Amino acid sequence: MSATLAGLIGLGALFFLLAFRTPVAIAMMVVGVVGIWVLNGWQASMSTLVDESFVIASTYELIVIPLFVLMGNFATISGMSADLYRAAYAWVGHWRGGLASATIASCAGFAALSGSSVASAVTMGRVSLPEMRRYNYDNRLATGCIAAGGTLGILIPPSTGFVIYAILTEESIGRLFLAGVLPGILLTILFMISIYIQTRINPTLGPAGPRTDLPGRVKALVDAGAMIGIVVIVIGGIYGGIFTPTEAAGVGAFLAFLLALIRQKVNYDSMSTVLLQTIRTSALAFLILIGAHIFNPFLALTQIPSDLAELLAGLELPRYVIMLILMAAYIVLGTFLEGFAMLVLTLPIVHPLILALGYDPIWFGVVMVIVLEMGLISPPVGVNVFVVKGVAEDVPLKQIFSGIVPFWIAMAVCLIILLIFPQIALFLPNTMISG
Amino acid sequence: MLQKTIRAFALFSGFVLFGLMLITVYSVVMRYAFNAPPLFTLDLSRMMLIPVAVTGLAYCGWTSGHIAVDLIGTFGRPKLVRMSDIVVRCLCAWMVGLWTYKLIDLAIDSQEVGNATNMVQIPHYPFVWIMVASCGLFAIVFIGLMIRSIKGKEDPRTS
Repeated sequence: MSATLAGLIGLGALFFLLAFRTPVAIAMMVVGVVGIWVLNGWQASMSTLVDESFVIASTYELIVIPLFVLMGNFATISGMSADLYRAAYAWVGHWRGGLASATIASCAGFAALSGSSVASAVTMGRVSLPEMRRYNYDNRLATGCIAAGGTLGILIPPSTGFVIYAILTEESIGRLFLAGVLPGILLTILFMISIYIQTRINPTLGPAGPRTDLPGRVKALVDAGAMIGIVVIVIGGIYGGIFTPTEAAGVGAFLAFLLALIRQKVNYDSMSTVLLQTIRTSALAFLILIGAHIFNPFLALTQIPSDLAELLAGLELPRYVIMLILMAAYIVLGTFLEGFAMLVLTLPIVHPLILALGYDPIWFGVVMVIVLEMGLISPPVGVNVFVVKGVAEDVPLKQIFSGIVPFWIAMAVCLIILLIFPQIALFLPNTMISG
Repeated sequence: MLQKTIRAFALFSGFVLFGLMLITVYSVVMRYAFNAPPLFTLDLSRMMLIPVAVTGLAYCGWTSGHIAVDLIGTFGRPKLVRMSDIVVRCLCAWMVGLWTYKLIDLAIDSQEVGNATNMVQIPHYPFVWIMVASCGLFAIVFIGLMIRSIKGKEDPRTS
């Protein structure tokens, strides 16, 4: 059997297994193990299985995943999310649609502590939804902004999406984290503009809240100071070359733990919940990485990624046209594939193509994460939508999806801006002190 | 019994992670405050990551934490979904079982050859045995889930 034919059969088998609800990581392991066995023999296949799993489970750089998840979970129990929301509310709550804008701003702030979109949506949804309901916000705007704001969790560092991208493509985690900062701020502003436009067209969607006086605003900001301090230490430490991302994650998790301890939020129940949730998320990420590292050598043996890259490069289409085709394909894939699954399944094929086209892989990482975000709020899979549905049980899914449309458009605008001005993503990583 | 074991494994993993956090902070403090970066932390952190990475696999599987694409669940009939779940879980149990079996070989080899970390010579084999136990439990979870599917019971969700 030729390597290419084996590869095509392998890819077919992978999608067949996925369609029948096989966990993505296990499906990749099965196809990788069988594929390498067919192409290189049983011994090579078994060596890949055990060696790759041991290497992934003991890679120092990957400590960053559980530590940042731990930091986000400590931040959740410490009550920082409420402080953040109060601060954002004090500053922008009196605008038309101000509570929705405050939700977006606090989601962005929480995203800087948590690498998970789901965690951001759940945490900020619980805090902000009751307030928006109190001021008679339209359900579509209220739920739409929470679902969209939550997606900032995987764009603004720390981000598990960036860590997985970095490991699969052998890029620097620190550079990717920094590349997410400015696009994250840009997307936050675009979300706020979207809210402004919506409430300008239909003011009943989001009435203005009461204005907070200046001392009240300053006090709210001071109350959120601990959270801002942790973010500055973590991101500033990476940017300034003081910490590696792993060290920044450890220090950030420790500071968030100390804050929870000072606020007397640490007890046996909260601690076991934090640890179990962290381990659940971490185990999932590691199994996916192990699966990908068993599947990728098989794919490399088939030479499909390099053949495809050569084929597309040989079409002599302008490179931005290929990029637009790729983005469109990812947006379609995102409607039914989970974000991480999409990342690990497609990167081995797409990454060589990106390099062949001369695009910066760090910039592409940011673009890819934004496309993943779009998938997070697109029907029918839209994980964040179902998370918001869990917080707002009485709101029909149809209403949540219709509320998301303006934010989805804002994401598309962000993508276009990044295509035209890649420097927005590359400025910070190119100026960081060591990386 | 199975549920308690799974939870105990996950909690053990969580406490190791907490220790990993403290070691990372210790390393930073020693480097900046005392100009004495400890040599052992890099090796120890790498080895401590192993239980963090794999000991929670069973908990993640038992609480339906693994990512799957639910095409058949959306479009298929309940009987077909149940049948496919049984087959898929059987396949998963085989895959993870094979992984466990080969890890046993690696653990024995590591012990015999004396594989250890570079700087402070922490032996690999105890950590490989932790991988064996964790993956073995993970395989048992898939067998448990398969039996549940055969009996027509819902998946457990213990968070």
